[in-house]
Amino acid sequence: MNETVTTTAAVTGENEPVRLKKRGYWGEVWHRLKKNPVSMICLGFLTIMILAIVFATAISPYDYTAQNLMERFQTPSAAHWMGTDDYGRDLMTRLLVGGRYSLLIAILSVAIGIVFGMIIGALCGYFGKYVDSVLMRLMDVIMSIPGMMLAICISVALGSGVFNTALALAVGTIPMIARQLRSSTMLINSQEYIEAARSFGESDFKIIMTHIIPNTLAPIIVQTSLYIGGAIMGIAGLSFLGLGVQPPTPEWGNILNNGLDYIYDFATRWHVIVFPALFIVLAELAFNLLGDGLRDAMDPRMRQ
Amino acid sequence: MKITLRLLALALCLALCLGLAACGGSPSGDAAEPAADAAAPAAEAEAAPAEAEAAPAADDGSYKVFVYGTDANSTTFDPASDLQTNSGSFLVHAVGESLWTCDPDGNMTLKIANAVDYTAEALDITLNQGVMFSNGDELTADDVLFTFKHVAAQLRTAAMYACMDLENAEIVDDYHLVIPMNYYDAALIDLLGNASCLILDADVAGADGYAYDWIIGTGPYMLKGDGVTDKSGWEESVQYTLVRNPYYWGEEPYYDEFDVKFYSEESTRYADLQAGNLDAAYLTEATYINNLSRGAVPGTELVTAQENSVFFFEMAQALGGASGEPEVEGPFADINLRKALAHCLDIPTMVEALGEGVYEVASDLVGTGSWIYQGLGTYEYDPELAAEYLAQSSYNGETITIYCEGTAWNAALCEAAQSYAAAIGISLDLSGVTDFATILPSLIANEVPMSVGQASNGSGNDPANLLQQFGPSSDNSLLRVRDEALGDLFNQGSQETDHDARLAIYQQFTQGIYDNYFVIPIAVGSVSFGVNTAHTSFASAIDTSNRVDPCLLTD
Amino acid sequence: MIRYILRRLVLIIPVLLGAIIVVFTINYFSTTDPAMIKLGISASDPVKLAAMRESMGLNRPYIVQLGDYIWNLLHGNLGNSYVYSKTVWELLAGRIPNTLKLGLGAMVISVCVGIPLGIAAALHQNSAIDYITTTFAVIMNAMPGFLVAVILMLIFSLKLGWFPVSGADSFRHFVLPVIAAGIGPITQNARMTRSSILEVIRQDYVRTARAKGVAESVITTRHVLKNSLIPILTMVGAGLGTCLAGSILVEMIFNIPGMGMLINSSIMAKDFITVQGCVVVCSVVVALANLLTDLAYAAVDPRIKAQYTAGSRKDRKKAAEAAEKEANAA
Repeated sequence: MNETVTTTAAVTGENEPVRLKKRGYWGEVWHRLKKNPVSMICLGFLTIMILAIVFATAISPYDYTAQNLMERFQTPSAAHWMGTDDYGRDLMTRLLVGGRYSLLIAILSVAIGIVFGMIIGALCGYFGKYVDSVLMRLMDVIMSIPGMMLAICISVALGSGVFNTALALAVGTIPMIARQLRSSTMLINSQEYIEAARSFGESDFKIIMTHIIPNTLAPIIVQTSLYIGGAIMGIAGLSFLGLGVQPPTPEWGNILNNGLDYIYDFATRWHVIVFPALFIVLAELAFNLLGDGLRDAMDPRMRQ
Repeated sequence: MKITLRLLALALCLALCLGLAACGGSPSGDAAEPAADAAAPAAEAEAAPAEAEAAPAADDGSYKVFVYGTDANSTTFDPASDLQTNSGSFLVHAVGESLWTCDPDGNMTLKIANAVDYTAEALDITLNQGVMFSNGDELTADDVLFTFKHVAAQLRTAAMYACMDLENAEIVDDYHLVIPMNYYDAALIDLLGNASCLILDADVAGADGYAYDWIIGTGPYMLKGDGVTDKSGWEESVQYTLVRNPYYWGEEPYYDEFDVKFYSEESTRYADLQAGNLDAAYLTEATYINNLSRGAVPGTELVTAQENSVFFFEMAQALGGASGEPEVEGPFADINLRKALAHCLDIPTMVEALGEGVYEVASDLVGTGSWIYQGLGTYEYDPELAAEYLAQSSYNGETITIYCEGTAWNAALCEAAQSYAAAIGISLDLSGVTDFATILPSLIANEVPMSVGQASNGSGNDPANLLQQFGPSSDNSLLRVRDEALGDLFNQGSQETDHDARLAIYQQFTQGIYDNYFVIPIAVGSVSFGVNTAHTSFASAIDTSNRVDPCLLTD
Repeated sequence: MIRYILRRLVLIIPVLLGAIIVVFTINYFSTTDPAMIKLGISASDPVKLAAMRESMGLNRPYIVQLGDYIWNLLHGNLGNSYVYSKTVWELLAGRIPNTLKLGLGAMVISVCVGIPLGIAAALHQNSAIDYITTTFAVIMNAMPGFLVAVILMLIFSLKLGWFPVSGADSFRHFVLPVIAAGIGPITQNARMTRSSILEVIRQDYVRTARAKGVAESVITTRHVLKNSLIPILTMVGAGLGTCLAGSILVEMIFNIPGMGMLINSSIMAKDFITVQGCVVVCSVVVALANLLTDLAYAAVDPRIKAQYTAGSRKDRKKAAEAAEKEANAA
C-alpha cells in the first residue's frame, strides 16, 4: 500500500496547487476528511461496529444459534440488551454475527467487482481500439439489465450461499467500475512516464500492473464505501425474496425479514423489527456519508 | 428558455404516451369492478351486523360476491395432482363434483351417482341422468371411466387405484358402469368420493394437447370464461373467479360469484383481511392466528378446524433406488439414531412456543378426530436418554439434510429441531428448507433422509389414505419404512371388510410405527381462517377434510 | 436528427441481443435441470426424464439452444413456462402494464419531486430547506425499499385507511406503491440535482453574468438551471431501471399483479424460464427508455444535434460551431 500511496501522490500532485506542508496525496485527503465532523462520526461508528462484529463471539456470552423456546420475544433487558427473537436467541448476538455475513458478502461482492472492473477498465483504457470497443459493448450489455434483476437471475441460477450471493451482486458493479477506470486509464496512458516505460521495452502486462492499476485505484478505493452501502441494501432485498443466505445463518436482511412477520404485534415485539432495521439503516448511512465525505475530501472543489 | 420549454414539452409528451400505453393495455378494467363491489357489502355488513344476521338470505336480486384470500400454490387444474389444498378447495367443491362424498367415519352421500354396489368382484355404478357439464355436455359413463383412468395413470396415486381392473371395465349404457375388481380395497369408496376424482369431461380433457390449465366440471359454478377464447377466470398466481354454471343440474347455492385471490405475502393477506377487503382468508402464521383468537382485529373472527392428520418428522431408512438402482441404508436405518432424535426434541415446548397456542401436541399418528385414534403418546423429552441412544448408534457425525415443504410453520419446526439435535450432537442441515431448487435433484433421487410434513388427507378421509404415507409401499412420501411385517399388516387392513377388524389392524399398525420410531409425531394439523364476522355460516362450510366448501356458505 | 435516431436505433440492437445472451447463459448454467422442474417428482423415472429433456430440446448444444431462444424471441415467443402450461409471454403480457404504471409512476415522482427539491436545496444552500432536503435524502436513501413499503402500508392503509391495502384496480391502489418504489430515486435525483447545480453556480460564466449585473432570476433560469439540468436528464432514463427493479419488492408487499410478483412466484415455483423472460422484457423496456432520454438529450443539446444536422460536412461543422457558441454564450 505504501508504494501505491507514493506513486499516486507523485502523479496527482502535479495537478494540485502547491501546499505549504508536504503531506502526500493520502495525507491531504485525510487532512481534509478530518475537518468533516460527519465523516469522522461515521468513521468512528463504522470502526466500533466492525470491531464489535469481528469480536462478536468474544463479546457476547450467547451462542447465536442457541435457542431457548421458553424465552421467546423477550424485550430488551440487562441479560439480553436487544431482547430475544422468535426462537429465544439473543438478538444482539445474532445481529453482530449477522453483520459478519452481511459485511462479508458486501465486501466480497465489491472486491469481485473491483478486481474484474479494474482488469477490464485497464485493458480498455490501455489498448483502446478493438479491445476497448468489444469489452465496453459487453459492459453496456450488462448495464442494460437492471442491477437487481441481474442479481436475482444469478442468485436463482446459482442457488444460495455467501459466495453465490456476493457474485450475484458483483456482476452489476463490474461495468460501473470498469467505465470509471477506463477513462482514468486513458488519462494516465497519455502521460510521459508511460511513454518512457514503453520505450524501455517493458511489457504491456507489466505496465498495466505496475503503473496503470496502482495509479487509477485511488478514486475507486474511496468509492468502495458507497459500493458497500449499495451491496448491503442489495443483500437485504435478495433476502426479502428468499434468495441470499438461508436461515439459520443470520444476516441482517433475513433477520429483518423474519422480524417483519411480527409487525402486527409491534407493541410487544417491536425489538425484532426495530433493531435489525436500525443496524441496516445505520450501517448504510455511515457507509454512504463516509463515501460522500471521502469524495469531497478527494475533490477539493466540491467543498464549500 | 426556448430549450427548457422544449425539454419540458418533450418530457411531458413522453410521460403521457407511455402512461396512456400502460393504461390502455391494462386488463384490469372490467375485472376490477366486481372485486370493488365485493368490498362494499362487506363493509356495510360490518357496520350493521345485526341487520345482516336478521336477513341472511334476502333475495333482493343483488349480485353476491365472496372474496377469499389464500396462499399462491395452484399451478394446474388437474384434479389428480393435489388440488385439495386451501387454495384449490373452492375450485374442487364449486366447479367439480365427485360421484359421492364420504365423511371420516365412512358414511356415504351420493351426488352424481344414483346407486353404487361395491363387492370384491365388481364396482357397479349407476349415474343420475341429466347431470350437465358447464359447457353443456351431459355427463355419461364414458366421462367417469376416463376420470378413473386419468387418476390411475398418475404416478403419485396409481397404487391407490390398482385394485380396479379399468381395462376390462364395461360401459353397460350411458348411465351404467361396471368395473371388475383385482382385489377388494376398503378405502376405495372413500377414495373415489374424493376431490381427486371429480368427474372430468372426457371430450375436453381427453383431447390432444389439453394441459389442465382450465377445468370443466359439473359443479354449481364454473371458471369465468369459456376456456377456449376467454380465459378471464384464471390469472396465474393472481386470482381465479368462479361464476354460476348455467347448466347446473342441482339446487343453486347462495353466492353468485367467488373471487379467490392469491397473496404470496401472508402479511398482505392479513392486512387486506383487517382492512375488510376479504370476506375470509386462509392463515398459516401462528402469530396472526393468535392475534385473531385474541380478538385483536374487530369485525374479524377466527375459524379453526382440526385435521385428522398430524405434522411429523419422517426418517427414511432406505435411500436411493429411484431409477431402478439398489437402495442403500440411510443413517436412520439405525433405530438408535431414530430414538436419539425422537427423545432430544422437547415437543410440547416446540408446539406451545412456536405455535403460539394455535397448535396442539400430537399424541398419535392421526388426529383425535380419526376413528383409529388411540392416543399412543408423545416421545418424551430426555436429552440424557437421547445422548445414550446416540452413543449406541452408528452415527458418525455426518450432516443430515432435512426437507420441508415451505410453510412458515414447517420451517420453524425444522429450525427448532436443528437446535435441539445439535445439543446432543446430531447435525441437521436446513438448506432444503427454503431452497427447494438445491434439494430437488436429491429429492428426486430419493436421497433426502429426513423431512417434516403432514400426512395429506387430500386423498380422502379413510385412515388408509393417511396411513399409506407411512406404509412400506409408499413412493409418495420420503418415508420408506422397510419393515415387511408392518407392510403385510397395512395391506391386510386395506382388504379387510369388517370395520372393527380394520380398526384393530390399523391400531396395531400405528403402534408398530410408533414403537419402531419410524416417524416423530409433533402437532395435530389444523387449518385456520380469518373470517369477517358477517359470515356466520363460514364455520359450518368447512367440509369433512377441513377445507372450505363454498357451496355451503349462506351469508 | 433522423440520422441520429436511426444510428441510436441500430446501436440498441446489439446491446439488447447481448443482454438476452447474458441472461440466457446465466440460466443455462443454472444448477437445476429444467426437465426435473417440469416433471417434479415423476422425474425419478429416468425414461420420462430423458424423454422430457429430449422434448424440451435440452440435449442440443448450447449454441443451438441459444439460437433457438433468440429466434423464438424475435417471433415474440419467450419460451414455455416450466410450471404452468402456458407460454412465458402469456403469463407476462397482462402484467407488464401494472409494472410499467408502477415503474413510470415512480420515475415521474422521482423527477417531479426529486429535481425541484434538489434545485431548492442548491439555490438556498445552507438554509433550512437545504438541510431538511439533504437529511431526508440521506436517511431515505439508507432505508431498504421493502421496509418503507411496509411502513407506508401500515400507516396509510391500515391505521388511516386512506388507501387500499393491495391490488391494482384503480389510481388509488397505486399511490402508496409508487411512493415506496419512488422514494429511493427521489433521494438520488435530489442529491444529483443539488450537486450538479452547485457545480454550475461556481462556474466562471455565472460569476461573470452576476458581475455584469444580470438579474438573479435570469441567472437562475437561463444560466444555472439550463446548464445543470441537461446532465440530470440522462439520469432520468437510467432511473427507470432502478424503479422497475425496485418495484419487484413493492409489488410483493402490495400484492400488485405485475412482473415483480411473477418473478417472485416463479422463483418460488422454480420456473426459471419465466424469471428469464421477465428480465429480458425489463431490459428491453430500460433500453428503450434510455434511447428516449438520449433522443431527448439530443433534441435539447445543440452540440449533439449539430453533429447530425443534414448537409455537407462543412455546413455541419459550421452549424456545430455556431451551436457550441450558442450553448456557451447563453
